[in-house]
Amino acid sequence: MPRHADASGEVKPDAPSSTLEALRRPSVPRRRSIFAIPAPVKQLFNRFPLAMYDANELPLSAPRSRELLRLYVFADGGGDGLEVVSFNPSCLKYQAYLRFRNIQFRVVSSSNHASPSGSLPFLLPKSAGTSGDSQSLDPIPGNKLAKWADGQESKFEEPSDPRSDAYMALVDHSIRRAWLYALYLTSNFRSVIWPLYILPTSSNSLVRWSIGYDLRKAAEAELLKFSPTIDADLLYLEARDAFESLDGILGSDTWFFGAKEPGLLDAAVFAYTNFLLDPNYGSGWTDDWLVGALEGRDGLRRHREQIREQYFVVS
Amino acid sequence: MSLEVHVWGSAFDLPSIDPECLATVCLLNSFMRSEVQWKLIPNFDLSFSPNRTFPVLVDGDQKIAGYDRVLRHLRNRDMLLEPAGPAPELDPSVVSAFLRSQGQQLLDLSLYVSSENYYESTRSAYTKLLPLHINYFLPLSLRASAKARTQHLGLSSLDLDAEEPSDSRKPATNTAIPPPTQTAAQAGKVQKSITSFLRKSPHVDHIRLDSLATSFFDVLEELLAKDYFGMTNEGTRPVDCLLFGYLALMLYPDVPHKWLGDAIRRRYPRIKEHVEHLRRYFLSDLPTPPWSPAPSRGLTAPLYDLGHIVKSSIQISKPSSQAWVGMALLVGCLAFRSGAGRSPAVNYIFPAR
Repeated sequence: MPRHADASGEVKPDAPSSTLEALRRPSVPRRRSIFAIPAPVKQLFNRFPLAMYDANELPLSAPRSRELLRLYVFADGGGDGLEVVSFNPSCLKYQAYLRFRNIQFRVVSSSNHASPSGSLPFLLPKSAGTSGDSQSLDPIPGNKLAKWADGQESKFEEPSDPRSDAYMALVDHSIRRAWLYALYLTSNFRSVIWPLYILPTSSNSLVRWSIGYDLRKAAEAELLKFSPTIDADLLYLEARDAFESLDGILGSDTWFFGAKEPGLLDAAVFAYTNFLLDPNYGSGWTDDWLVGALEGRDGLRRHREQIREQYFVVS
Repeated sequence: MSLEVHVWGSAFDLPSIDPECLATVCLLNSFMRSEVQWKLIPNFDLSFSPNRTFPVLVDGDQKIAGYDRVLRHLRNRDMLLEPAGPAPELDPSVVSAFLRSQGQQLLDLSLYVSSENYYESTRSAYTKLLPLHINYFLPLSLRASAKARTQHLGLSSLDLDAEEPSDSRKPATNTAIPPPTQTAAQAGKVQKSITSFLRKSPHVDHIRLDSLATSFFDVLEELLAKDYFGMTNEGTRPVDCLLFGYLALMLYPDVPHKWLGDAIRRRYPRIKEHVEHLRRYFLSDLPTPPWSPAPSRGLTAPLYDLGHIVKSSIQISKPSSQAWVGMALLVGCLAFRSGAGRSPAVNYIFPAR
């Protein structure tokens, strides 16, 4: 602020101050930001768009007709038939579960890149006529599929047993971790995972190598979340105990907990046993310690055969 | 021959701060045969353990780490006096998988991820257990692993240290751009007030936390109600130790944000009753376990710890250390380039015009 010093050396403020005057003014015109669009330019742009083109056509690989539900999974080939069985446990779990619920769907062989959430499986609902609301057309991610299936009109009694959740933890915790170790961190990675997951994604060996590296790292990180070191023996013992107690609780029943229809736990167990008991995936198991954990579990073998015969058509 | 059992030290008025160690203390104290000599040693040096976890059982030359392995070892040596009678209907491996997959998540969220609880309770509990130099990094790395375990739940708002709430559930389109009339200073003020609101509000993400706790406790309550654990049989069983280990750390710690303990107290009387029964049995009725002081550390220990600190802090601050290495390389390259122009050798190869 400019100040005047008089002869005595005293400093006096400017009087009257121009800022004070400005504040006293009855109405202050609204200040325009320098970033505001000038009026003529704004008027010009208000005329846009001058013309609207039609939306681009969907790519050729996009589903043309959506009369049928489409379940995107990791699988060899896809189709309407019942012969496609996913080789990924979390995909197969829901594939089997939807079959149990007698829901008609088409299996689409896909990869993570197709999924809105970045992971498979997901279900693309069928369009409800031409004027279906967009909400009902959103893809349903895997973890919401069970809830979604509950909302469908189908006469299905989900077997409810409190033990089911506890046994599910056994599958998701003990068996899954042993699975991660056995398939990603042993020589099985090269013989089973490589041909199933990595070869179809790219023909470039550098890309393949990078994806393979990422997968192994991810599996390792997942295992290290629960313990600071990876104890393969303990993982194996836990998996063996898990299969033993699953086999024990199944007993001579057809389905878990003596239910009339198979439920989510049946699907989850089948998702692992189906893969473990099939020696033909990839170029075969080179390290079969996890397969050995199923040794003598005849109940689980019978359970797997039952589901394959009743809900899948496999040669 | 005497057995040594090394565990994490005591906290929250419980014998150990770690669920598996707490379970081990209860296991040994209630089921060990009386002729077996054993002692408990509070420990914090993870390098002592073969797989960097506690509990560790030292039996002669053998070191056995982890609750499961300790239990197996003691059974193989026939050192446990387990109650006879019919086996419980629910397999112990099912209970332990259920507790470890779902109970552990809840404990992680309650004691480690939630900033309030971690800073007010958990960290000070560790401060009492650890010497200064280890206290500097160990609780941090435990918290980091708890965050990694619960990352997929999308409850990052509990953790107020996160620089930006990285919500994975957020749609990709950014609809939160402030309107153009708002100046940058105003926008900053709004953000600050939201953060302070989060700091004040103890009920962030309460609904999701609640549904997580409900899905765990509902199952447990029903399993208890239908007696799948075999409670009505003779006394307690080894599986009760693990159950107590996890549930006691949910119920008893006096943390500022008690959503987990309150959930049990308010809605699951049967679980609360059972945990209190187990607490009376394990911690009051039984004689106090034979604690001995932590092993003395040799003269070389500080030197060893220094190496350990450096190693661990590099592990913790991985991204930033990578950034530093990158920066150093960049600076090195620039220095080399600027120096190279004047270097006679290079001038010889590329003669100046």
